[in-house]
Amino acid sequence: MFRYVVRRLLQMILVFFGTTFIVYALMFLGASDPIQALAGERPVSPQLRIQLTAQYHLDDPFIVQYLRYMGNLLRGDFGTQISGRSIGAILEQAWPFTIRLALMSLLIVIIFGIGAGLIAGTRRNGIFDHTTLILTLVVIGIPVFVLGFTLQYLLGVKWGIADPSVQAGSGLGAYILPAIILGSLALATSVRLTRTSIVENLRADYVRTAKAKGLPRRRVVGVHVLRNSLIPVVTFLGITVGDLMAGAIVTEKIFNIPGVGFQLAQGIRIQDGPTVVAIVSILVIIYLLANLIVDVLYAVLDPRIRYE
Amino acid sequence: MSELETIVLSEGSSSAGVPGGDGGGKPRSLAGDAWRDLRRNPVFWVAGLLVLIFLVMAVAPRVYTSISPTACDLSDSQLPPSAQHWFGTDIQGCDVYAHTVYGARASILVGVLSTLLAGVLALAVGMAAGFYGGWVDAILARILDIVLGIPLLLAAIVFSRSFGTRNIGIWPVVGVLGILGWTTAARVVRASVITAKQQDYVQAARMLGASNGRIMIRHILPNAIAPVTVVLTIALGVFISTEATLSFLGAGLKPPTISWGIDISGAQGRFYQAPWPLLFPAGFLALTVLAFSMLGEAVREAFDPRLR
Amino acid sequence: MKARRLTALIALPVAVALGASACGTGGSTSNNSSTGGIVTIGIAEPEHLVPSNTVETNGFQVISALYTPLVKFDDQGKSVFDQAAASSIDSSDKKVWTVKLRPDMTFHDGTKVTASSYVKAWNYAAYGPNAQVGTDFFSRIQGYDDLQSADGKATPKAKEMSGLKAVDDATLQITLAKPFAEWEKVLGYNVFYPLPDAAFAGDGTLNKTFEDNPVGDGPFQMKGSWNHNQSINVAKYANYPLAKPKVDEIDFKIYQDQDTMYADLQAGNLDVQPQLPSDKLASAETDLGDRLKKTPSSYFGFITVPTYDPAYKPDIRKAISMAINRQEIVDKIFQGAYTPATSWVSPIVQGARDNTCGDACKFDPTAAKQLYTQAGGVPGNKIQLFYNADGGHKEWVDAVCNQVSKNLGVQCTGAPVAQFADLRKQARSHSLQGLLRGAWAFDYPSIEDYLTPLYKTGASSNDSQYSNPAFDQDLDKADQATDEAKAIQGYQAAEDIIAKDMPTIPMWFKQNIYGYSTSMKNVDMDLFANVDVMTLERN
Repeated sequence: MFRYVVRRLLQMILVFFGTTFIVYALMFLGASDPIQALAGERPVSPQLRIQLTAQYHLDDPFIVQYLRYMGNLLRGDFGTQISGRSIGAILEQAWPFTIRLALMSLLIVIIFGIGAGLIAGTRRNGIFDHTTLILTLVVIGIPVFVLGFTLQYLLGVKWGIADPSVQAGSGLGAYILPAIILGSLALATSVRLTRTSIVENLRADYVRTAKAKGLPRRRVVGVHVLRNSLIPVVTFLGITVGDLMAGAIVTEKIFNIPGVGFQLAQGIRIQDGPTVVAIVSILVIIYLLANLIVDVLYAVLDPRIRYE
Repeated sequence: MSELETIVLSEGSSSAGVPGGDGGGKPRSLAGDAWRDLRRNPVFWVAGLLVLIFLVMAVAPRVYTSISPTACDLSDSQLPPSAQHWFGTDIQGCDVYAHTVYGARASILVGVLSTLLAGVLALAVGMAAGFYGGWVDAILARILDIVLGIPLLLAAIVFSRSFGTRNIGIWPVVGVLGILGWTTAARVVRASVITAKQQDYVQAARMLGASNGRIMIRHILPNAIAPVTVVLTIALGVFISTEATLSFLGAGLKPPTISWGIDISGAQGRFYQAPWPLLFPAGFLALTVLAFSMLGEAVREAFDPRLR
Repeated sequence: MKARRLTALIALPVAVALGASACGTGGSTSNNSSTGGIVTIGIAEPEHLVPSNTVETNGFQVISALYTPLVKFDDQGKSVFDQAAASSIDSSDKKVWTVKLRPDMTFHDGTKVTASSYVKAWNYAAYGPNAQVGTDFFSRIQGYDDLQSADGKATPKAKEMSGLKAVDDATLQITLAKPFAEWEKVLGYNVFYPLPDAAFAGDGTLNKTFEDNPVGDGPFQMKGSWNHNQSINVAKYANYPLAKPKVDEIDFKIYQDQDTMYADLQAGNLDVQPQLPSDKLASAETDLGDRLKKTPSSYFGFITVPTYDPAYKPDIRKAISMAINRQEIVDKIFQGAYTPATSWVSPIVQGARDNTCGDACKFDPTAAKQLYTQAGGVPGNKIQLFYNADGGHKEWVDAVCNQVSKNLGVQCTGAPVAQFADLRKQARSHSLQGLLRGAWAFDYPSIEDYLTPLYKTGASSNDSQYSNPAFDQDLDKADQATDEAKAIQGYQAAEDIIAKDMPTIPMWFKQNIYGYSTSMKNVDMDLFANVDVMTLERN
């Protein structure tokens, strides 16, 4: 197991460099004029252009810029935007918001996803089961921004039971609606996943044995079936953590959350390579670590699985 | 792409792939059984009919309407549904019904083509990883991680920018969705290939001197296709929905293409004055996704012997 | 039975959650006294708050509360000095300007505002290596070129402009390289604000923390630091010598999305939205009633024609212009809040004339089609109208293209690109093959500001790449005129040349369209599209 983990960590380094290289290349290819992007529609004076180009080495060949950037990144220096602002400081301010949002979303997905999946699975083909199926597929079919704006209007403006946006000093309560929107797809899927898992396991031989032995249904389902059913769910949740952080772009935009998703979208929009690569590199690490933890957990939960 | 991860896992593919023999020969094949079950499943017929309706809409929109979607008269802006305009008109005075019917083509094409692209990539990568194992598997798994780390929005913008100001239709969006979306399906393929590889008849074929290529194509591929088809039908729905989100973020299809995504994101701002320009394309989109997903569900249930 | 317990277990947290979210509303609209109080104004995240680096509306809005300009303008664009930092600005030859400062202005840190405060700030802005976005505004001052580095790496020859002098604490003397009649108006722009000595670090650069905590000489001072992407709070400055504002504090709330800002306005979480998006105008009229205001603005919307492209010769430009029904677009897309433009200068500045465009801007589809066919049409019978996708322009661009397609029999399509930077680059390199959306808001209330930056050869916003030596000469002559009236006449003659050549097709003049909540009694906006922080008043 130890050798497996070490091997995975080494491979993680490869993936880190691979992803950052590709993302840096994409930003470079997609950039037409980052200096003009800095000024929006205003004109940029030739002097300013010369100055900024020299200061930020914008004329250097791609590979030189990339190596310089990665060199700094590995030393913990996230660099500066061409507006002069420190990227490290920006990210430091933005992360807490996204983490709050993503964790709350994860919590909702776990509690309601597994809970509803459990009900649907133990009462297969009942009304609850069919309703969740339809709801799931509808959630996939409605684009997330439509869902977001609609709920924002209904709950936030019309009925006034939630905040239309996340204010500077607002408590965790304001994150609930955005968390639901962000996790809507993951929620729908975890319901179905849990349900399918439980349905499969309920028919297993060991369940029949346990019932024959006279164990109460509650214990059979709650202890044995649930534990086995959770294996694929845990795998899925580990991936979801990274997804939620990256997928927050639309949700943060709609609910005005000043998090990492917003910075990522902004960075892409104004052709700010360093910011985008910085954010992506952090997201990649989170995602890979989550995957590794999940794979290790997988081995813990299912003793039949061995890694060499 | 993140949503696909969730979809495939929801279908309990931890042990996907059922050895179905090599077709022909046996009087009661899995495929034959499955078809019999499908025929008796009302969901299959309803979903199938819907899919057919939408496919005809995509291929031959004139069957459904004789109004041109580009016959827009600003003086008819935002009229509610009436006899001349069944779905009303949008802000430009275009007939919403005509727009919705003609929009089916781009939206469904994007879904179908990107699913095909993702499917081909998934089969190639998944078969190679599952069949050869070892370091090939490890490298491909890392490539998969890298692809998952690339933000969809970034890739979409770069793709659409790299063709300058020429409009080449749906191909940038198809490319982005396909290239970033094969990861989950690849995992499914890999899992079923690993299972199939260990079957007796494959060992037998190898001992009889069959080459790797022949084994892969004649014996392994048929087994990998069934479970991944289910994943892909649901992925198709997600792709169509994602096209709308990309339009909202400004990185989607461009005019003069007509698509549901463009119409939905365009109508979002004025939703509360005039809901119909949003409701009808969104409704069609949701129905299409629902139809494809339910078709996939029905096929999966028919092919899964454990659910008998 | 197990399911019911589970359902209960799920329902309980849901109820708690919804309750908690309702309690989560921040206390942003509290603290009301009958005068004073806190006002929340919605903005987008500013790029900068250092005056010489601020050229966009959000930054301008914030620092207009923190600083006092040298000159203010009334509703007709005439200079007024009674609430400005300068008591007078004079010049006999329009080359050497004498600015007399009020002696009692102080910075928020207590230090006096003197002429050298301005000199230091302006030299900092002009010095090339400091990379200030607003540096161009100082280029008319004598000696500016010596502060520029030829290639971005070499050190410039000088650090101070020879044309800028602090004669004494209250007198500032500016010598321009060439006479320019409108210079007095230019000084009202926000890049000319002064900076306290404490803003500078030892080596002549700005302190790193200054931008997050700008210190100015205006009616409000910073309360806390700039909370990036969240808010900027300012509070009344007790020692302000001029008229005091009516509110105690302003909280600038930062939003990513205008629709979300509007949702907060509707929900009562925001007091003022300075710019209502056009797709919300119709519902705003119902929601806000007379809390929806429209005031004159300098904004001028137009379509840029690529003059380097032989496909768009002047007759084609006229034909396109005549094929557009501006009034209908204004009515349907903008809810009547804009005015169709038939000249190239906004009516709010002196010297603006009505209908300099004449027949070329009158909607006449038959004449348009005739002219178009006579001129031979465009190659491929296709026209593309490029615009940036992030500005909410899709609706009017599509409407224009629909009209042009229908009336000229050509295939006109809107072509969005991710952002404006892409378009400008292509326009500069003459590779843009189509029309381009354009807009302009003045930096100072002068007719000259609608002509020079847009049409002079090589000018910074000249996206049409128009180059006409006769026009340039007219501008230079008017710049050097010795009195205002002659200058205006000169600029009007220049506008007539533009009317003939039509490098841009005028579309509309915009108004400031803003809304406020029920807690506000009075909200005004000035010609720079800034909320007037002095006249803000709560109920």
